[in-house]
Amino acid sequence: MPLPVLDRFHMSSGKSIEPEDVRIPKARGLVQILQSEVLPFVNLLKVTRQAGGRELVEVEVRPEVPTHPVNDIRFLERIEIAFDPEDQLQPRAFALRSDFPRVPHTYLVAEGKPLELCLFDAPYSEQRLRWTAAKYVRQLHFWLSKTATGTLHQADQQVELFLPGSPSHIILPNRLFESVRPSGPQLLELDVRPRNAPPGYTLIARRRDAESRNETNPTHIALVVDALPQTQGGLTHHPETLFQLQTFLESMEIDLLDILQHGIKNWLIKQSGDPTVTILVILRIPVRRSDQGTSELVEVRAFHIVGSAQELGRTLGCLDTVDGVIGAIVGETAADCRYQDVAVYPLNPVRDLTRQYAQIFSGTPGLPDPHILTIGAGALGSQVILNLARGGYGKWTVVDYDVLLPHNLVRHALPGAYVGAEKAGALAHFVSDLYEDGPTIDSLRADVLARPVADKLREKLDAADVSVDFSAAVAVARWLALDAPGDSRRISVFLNPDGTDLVVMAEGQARSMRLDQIEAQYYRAAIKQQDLTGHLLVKGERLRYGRTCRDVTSTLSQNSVSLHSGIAGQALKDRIASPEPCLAIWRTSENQSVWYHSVELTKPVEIHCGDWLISADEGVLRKLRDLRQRALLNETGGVLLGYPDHLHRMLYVVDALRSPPDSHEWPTSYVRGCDGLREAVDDIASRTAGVVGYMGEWHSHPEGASCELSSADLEFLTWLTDNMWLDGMPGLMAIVCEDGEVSWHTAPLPDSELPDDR
Amino acid sequence: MHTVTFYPLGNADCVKIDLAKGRSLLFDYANTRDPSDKADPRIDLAAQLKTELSKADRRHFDVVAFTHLDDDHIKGAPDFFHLEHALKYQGSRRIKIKELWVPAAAITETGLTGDKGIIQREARNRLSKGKGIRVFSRPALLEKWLRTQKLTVDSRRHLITDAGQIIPSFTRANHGVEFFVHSPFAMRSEGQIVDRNRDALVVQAIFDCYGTETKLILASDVDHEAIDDIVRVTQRNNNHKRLEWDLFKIPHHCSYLSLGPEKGRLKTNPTLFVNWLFETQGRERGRLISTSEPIPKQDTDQPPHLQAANYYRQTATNKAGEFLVTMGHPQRCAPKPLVVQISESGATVHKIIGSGATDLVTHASPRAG
Repeated sequence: MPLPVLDRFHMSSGKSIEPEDVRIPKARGLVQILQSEVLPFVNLLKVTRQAGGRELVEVEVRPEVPTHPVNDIRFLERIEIAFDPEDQLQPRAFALRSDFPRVPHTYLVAEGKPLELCLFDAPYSEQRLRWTAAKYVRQLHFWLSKTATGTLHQADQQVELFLPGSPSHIILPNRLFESVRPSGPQLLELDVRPRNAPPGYTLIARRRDAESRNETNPTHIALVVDALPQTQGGLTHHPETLFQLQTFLESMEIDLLDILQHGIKNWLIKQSGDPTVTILVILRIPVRRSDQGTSELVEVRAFHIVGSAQELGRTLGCLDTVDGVIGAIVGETAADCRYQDVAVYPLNPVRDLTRQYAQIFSGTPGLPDPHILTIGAGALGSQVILNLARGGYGKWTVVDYDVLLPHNLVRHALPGAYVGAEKAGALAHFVSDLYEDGPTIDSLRADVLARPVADKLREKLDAADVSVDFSAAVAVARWLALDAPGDSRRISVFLNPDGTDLVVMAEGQARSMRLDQIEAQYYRAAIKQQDLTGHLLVKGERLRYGRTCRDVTSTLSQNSVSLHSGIAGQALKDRIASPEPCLAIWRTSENQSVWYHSVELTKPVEIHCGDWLISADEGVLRKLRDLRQRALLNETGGVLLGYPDHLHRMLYVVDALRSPPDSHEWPTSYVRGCDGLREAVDDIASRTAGVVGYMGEWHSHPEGASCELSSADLEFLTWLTDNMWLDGMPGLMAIVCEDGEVSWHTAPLPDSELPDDR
Repeated sequence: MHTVTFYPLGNADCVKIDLAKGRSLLFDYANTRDPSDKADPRIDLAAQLKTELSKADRRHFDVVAFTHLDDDHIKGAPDFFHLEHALKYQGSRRIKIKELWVPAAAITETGLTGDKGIIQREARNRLSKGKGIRVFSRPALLEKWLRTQKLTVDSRRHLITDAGQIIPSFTRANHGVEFFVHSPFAMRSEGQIVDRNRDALVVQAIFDCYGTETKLILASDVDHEAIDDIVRVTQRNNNHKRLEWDLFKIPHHCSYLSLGPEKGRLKTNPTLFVNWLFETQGRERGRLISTSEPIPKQDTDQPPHLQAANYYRQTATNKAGEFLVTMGHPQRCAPKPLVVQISESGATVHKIIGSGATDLVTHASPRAG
């Protein structure tokens, strides 16, 4: 279609003045810089002053426009810039060409008015700090150039509506913005939230699942009308009276009066609705870029019609009140001609939030969407779940047995309204309310350590891709590692006792290394790595009796939990995205700097020995082989460090100590000394919150000798077993010999009765 | 994306075409700036091209075309280019020419001196050696000169392109562009072959960018009679598309003589054929580019003529296009190269409003006391 040869322009009212007579400082600044001709591509045309002191500077802009622009921006555009005498409002730019297209970042205006350009994102209060006439001109030129190529907007962003005249928002379901086939007029119920300063208010369409909870009557109802597809450029204006709205809709072959009359009668008579509700009209207009194109998006416009349903019905001649009873007028209805002047206010339509949009707004669309079961909805767990759910990440099952108590509020994601409710259910409820498109979270009140495992818990575990332990209880992590049904990948997330450090242990995708095996290597890291000194102490001191290493002190601040839940949320996403197992620790210093420490994991090694399962790893075995090698041709030895799990009949060996200095090493025998040994074992216990302690003895055999027990070794084992029996523990002995082979030996406990779990 | 650059050289020409796939062509080279005049707003073409070449990590042009051997199209060329015919025009700082394009007159004309003579010797040398040259002519026209070199037309036919043909060095498929030759050509009149407009090389370039065609006509310095002939031949051969344009390098620095015989008082009236070329063949949002001094407010003898400019301006407005002048872009006080990018959206003239701070940090400061 050829472009019109003669452009028509809007004329602005006011008195033309000489550029020298401009009074408003910003307008004067603009005129001066344009007159000095230092800026290319922008010329001054004329200056006008309006009643009230507003000054208008008309300029000619030559933007950067390709031969085939996406939007019909011309090589030469006339723009009027309006300056507020008080400088309270930002200088506003209007496109004077009457067929200037409706493009993104323009404001809708009333009929016959030039289109206003939205040049800046920041509010004027911010812009004013940096405002110069040159910068304004540059932004105007940039705006026109980028609009020409359709690159001012991000490609996947929708053309948004913005109505500077309307102080009010209307929050609408997403389906209204999607191109679906028209289905005839629909009815929406809405609630109003007045704001402190009238006339602003927000209207919220009721979510379908929320309706049942809402007992009160809606304050507003909306009639949703589908229009025929329109070309984008034409939709520049908004109507201000019912007559203008009717005319606007007539151009789209919609009979507004008929829709209103039927809608009101239906609401009042058939549905016995509240006659005082306010009526809104919502228009869905499929918009295409050109007359030939298919519609690309749906533009939603909303109008508030002044007056109640009852009043409007009377004005439209479809209702009457007889003896206080509302009745519909049957047959031909005659609208009162006053209807034409009924005021219509445009509203700013806003989409309700969906999970997909939450992902987009978080900058993480298209991530994998795993089903995550979490055990524990306490301080850390609730905040991590909420952080991730807000971003639309994951489908969740929350398992917890506790009830939210007042003191929990200090560090819990849930607000006070939920005190007394079950944490799991309350959190699921809270998270579900984030999105329009319903819950992706469910809950189960269960104590995972109760026997037998509840069927419901088993079902949920079977369905999960990942199970995360937020319980801060070693027993739960151990249960998750060894007992929990299903084949979900297991992850444990907890804080150290001081709440300064965050620990994340994650099994790999293949689950070749179990959570309890990673836990053993975590303790070794706490023992051996200088960086982790103090990790398991409380305020620098060893834990008091009766506390477990994951008991967080009761004086931890929400700041710490918040900081770590942010890290934990991202860490969880990263670990789930990676197939590898992982052990990572984040330490916070006194000045809140966070230091990341990743621990290299080595391959676990498990050996059945008597009725115990010994769990060690390549790291421990490598150390035994090294110490043997260094002592050759003599034998050497030392003590084994670790901890038992009597419930699961496991002995975890995490480290070995070298031979004390007062030991005797000969080519065919070894006597372990004890110089400094007690102190070394105590130190290790303190570094691991008392978890890791003495587990038994190891010694080496010389070249050519097997890993079998010698007669001396048998006696040694008996000595060891007799002593360990006092602690209810089996004696554990390891022999390391030629070619790196290691043999493990226990003797059965004299008393077959097993001690209780701690 | 291809780029076409017009340099502000006063009433003189230099158009650079950088193709998306890396080849670079130059149409004319006239370094007109007066180095002794610090206030001369014309660009130092040698310095500018060397900077651009070095940014692109190049030491040569794939093609240098001299549309005809007038000063405003060749001035200073022997100081800038590496010429093969004599050692004194060679050296590591000189820019090499892979293929030299000249009209036949550049070979056959006699009595040329100065820069013209040097360029002619280079062209003759290359033609005689049989490589690195393309001559635009009816082959027979060169027969006489070739005979003096003891060469035949047949042995050089592959280096000669006649009007009405596409220059074989570039194809749409391989380079995203094709060049159609409009001039120089021979007109058949009354059974005799008369060679006219022998000087200038006029081409139409059609750029193809992902299916979007952008058409550029480079019209050298031809006058209205030459244009009449070009239009007549093109219409007769039903080749209208070859005279369509989105970008038009206006001939002869906006001289009225390229439009019609009479200057006119306010606006030059073009001949019927010339008017057809601009009004009918110009496409929507077409750009007319005058390689000239800024358009004067008064009547002048020398181009640019305000009357011609008024015609071009009106033509541009009718198409929602624009009329641009190299010495007035972006502003008269400080002209800069006029850069046109050619993409799937067609042609875009670069129009950037610079910032003071950006300019300051990209230039050395003056001496402080």
